[in-house]
Amino acid sequence: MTSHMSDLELEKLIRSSSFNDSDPDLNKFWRKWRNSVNPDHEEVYMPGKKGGFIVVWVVCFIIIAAGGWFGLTKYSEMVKLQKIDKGEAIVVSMVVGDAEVKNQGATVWKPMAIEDTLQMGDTVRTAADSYCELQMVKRGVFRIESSSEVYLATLVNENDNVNSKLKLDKGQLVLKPNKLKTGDSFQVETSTAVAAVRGTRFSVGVNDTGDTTVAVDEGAVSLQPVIPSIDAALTNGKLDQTTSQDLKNNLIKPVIVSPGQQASFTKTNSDNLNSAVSKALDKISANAGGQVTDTTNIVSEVKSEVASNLPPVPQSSGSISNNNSSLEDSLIPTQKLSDDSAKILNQVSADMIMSNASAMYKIDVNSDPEGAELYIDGVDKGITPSEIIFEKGKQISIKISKDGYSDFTKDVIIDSQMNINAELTVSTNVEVPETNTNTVAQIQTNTNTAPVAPPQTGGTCCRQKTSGRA
Amino acid sequence: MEDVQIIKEIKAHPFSGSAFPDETRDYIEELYKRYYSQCYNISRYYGMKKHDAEEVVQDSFIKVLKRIGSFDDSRPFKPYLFKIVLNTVRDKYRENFKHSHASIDSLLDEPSEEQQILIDSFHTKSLFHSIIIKMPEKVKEVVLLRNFSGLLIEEISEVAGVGRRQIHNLLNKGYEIIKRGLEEENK
Repeated sequence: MTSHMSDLELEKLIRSSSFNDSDPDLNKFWRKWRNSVNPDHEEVYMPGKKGGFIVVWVVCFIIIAAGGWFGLTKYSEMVKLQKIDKGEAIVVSMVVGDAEVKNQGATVWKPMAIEDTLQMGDTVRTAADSYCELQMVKRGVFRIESSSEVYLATLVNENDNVNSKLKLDKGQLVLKPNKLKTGDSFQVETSTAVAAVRGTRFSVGVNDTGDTTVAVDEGAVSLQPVIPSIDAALTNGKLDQTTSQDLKNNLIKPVIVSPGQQASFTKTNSDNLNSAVSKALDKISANAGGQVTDTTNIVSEVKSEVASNLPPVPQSSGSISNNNSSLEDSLIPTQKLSDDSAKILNQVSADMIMSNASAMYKIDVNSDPEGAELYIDGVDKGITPSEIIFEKGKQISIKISKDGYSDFTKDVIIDSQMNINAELTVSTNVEVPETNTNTVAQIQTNTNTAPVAPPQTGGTCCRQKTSGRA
Repeated sequence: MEDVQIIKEIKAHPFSGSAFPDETRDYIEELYKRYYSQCYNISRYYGMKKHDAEEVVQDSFIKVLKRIGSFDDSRPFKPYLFKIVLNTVRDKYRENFKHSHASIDSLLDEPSEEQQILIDSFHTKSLFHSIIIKMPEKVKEVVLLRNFSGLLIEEISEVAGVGRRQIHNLLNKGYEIIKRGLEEENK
C-alpha cells in the first residue's frame, strides 16, 4: 500500500504526525532571556543550578565547622573541669590590680584574669597594690599578696594526692589548705626555709632582704631552714648521700609555729648558718681525709662546730621562744601573732574553698559611682567594679562603701552568673568628695585594662576594675 | 503582520540592559508563538526529549534576538531562524552526548544499537517518527524542513547549503526511506 503512496500523501502523513505536547511558555522564555543576558541575576529558585549546590555546600560546611567548634569547646571545657576537679589545675577566682602568669616553658609574662586556670610549672607574680586569689577546688584557697612571685612546682601527685609545693621567691602568700588526708603534703619553700603544714591557715612572707616569716592562726606549721652548703658538700664529694640527708633532716630541727604565733628566719641568720655549716664540713672533711661517711656522730659534730662558728644571734623583742636555748630557737625565733599578720590571715577561710569545679559562677559587682570599697562577708575585696568567682549555693553578704555615700549592703545566694549594681546615695551628713581619691590600681579582667591613676591619699588600699568604663 | 515587519519593529527598539521595551516584547512574543511549533517538532524529530526540545527553541530565539541587529531584514527570516534552530539542535546533541561519552557523528549518521535504544525511547509515538530519526543527517534535515518549517524549496536550499536539485534528490531519498520502512513494518 505504501509503495503506491504519492509524495504529497506522504507529506500529509508526516505533517499529521507532529508533536503537540508542548506550548510556547513565554514566561519561561523571558526568564531564560534575562539569565542569558545577565547571568549574575540567575533566578535562585530554579532547581539544578550550580549556585544552589554551592549554597548548600557552604551551609553544610558552616554547620559542620560550627558543630566541630562547639564540640571542641565543650571538650576542652570538660578537660579543664576534670583537671580542676583532680587538682591538676587551679582557678583564678579573683584578681585585683596587676597579676601576671608565665606558663611552664614560656618566656613571656601574660596578664592573668579571673577564670583563668593555672597548672604545675606556672609562675604567678603580682604588682604593687595588687593581689589575686587562687582556688584549688576541694583542696584549698591561696591569696598571693602584692609584689609577690610564686612558682607552682607541684600540685598533686600521680595518685591524685595533694602534693603541693609552692616556691615563694618574694612577697607574701596566705594559704588555707583543706584538711589533708593520709599521703597528702603541702609546703611552701622560700630561698632560706621550708614551711610544711597539715590542715591549717597560715601565711609565708619573704621581705626585700630575704627574711622569711611564717604566721599561723589555725593548726600548726613546721618551719625548717634550707642549708645550701650541705648540698654543695655533697656535690663536692665531702659528704655521701646518706650523710647529707641525715644532716638536712636533723642538723636544724623544724620549728613548730603554733596558732597565734609567727616565726621569722632572717636572711642574715640563714647566711650565717650556711657559712658556719660550710666551715664545719670543711674542717670535718679535712680531718676525715676526704668524704665523710660516718653518720653516727656527724650531726652532733657539725652542730658543735656551727655553734662555735655562728655569730651571736641578737635576742629578738617579743620573742616567746624558750629563751633561745636551742640552736633552732635562736635562729628561728617565734613571736606572738601580730595584728597585721592576723588581718592578712583573715583574708582566706575554709568556707572559701570551693567543692565543685563545674558549679562556679562569676559575680560582677558594679557601683555608681565607681571606685567604692567592696567587702564580701566582711573581707576587703578591692574596689568596684569587680569580678569574683563563687560556688553555686553560697550565701554571701556584700557591702559597698564610699566616702560621702551611704553604705550599700545586700545578701545574695549564688545561683547563676550575677550582676550586682549598687546605686550609692549621697550621705546626708557627709560632704561628697569632688574627685575619686581612692583609685590607685586596677583589677585585671579577661577583657581589657584601663589606665591606673596614681594614689592620692595614703592608708586605704583601693583598687579599680579595668572594665573600660572607668 | 509579515515577518519582515516584525523584525523591523524589533530592530527599531532594541533591548537595553536585559529588557526590551513593552511594544517590542509583543512583537517578539508573536514571532515566538508563530514558529514555536515548527522549531519544537524539528527538535523532537532530531531525537530531543521534550525538555531539551523546549530549551532548543528558547535558545534559538535568544540567539536570534541577540543577533537581530546584524540581521539583513531584506532577506527572509524563516531560513535564518531554522538554520539557527538546526545549529542549536546539533549543539544540544554535542552537549548531551558529551556527558554520555557518545560520538555525535556516529549518532547523526547510522545510529548504533545503543543509540537505537535511546532513539526508540525518545520516539515511541509512532513507527513513522522512528523512521525519520534514523535517516542520514542531510536527508532528515531536508525532510523536516520541508514538512515542519513551511520553507520553500529555495529557502530550504539556502538553509541546507545545497542546490535546489540536490534538495529534490534528498527529499526523494527521504521519502523512499519512509515508504520502505513502513512497508517493512507492515510485513
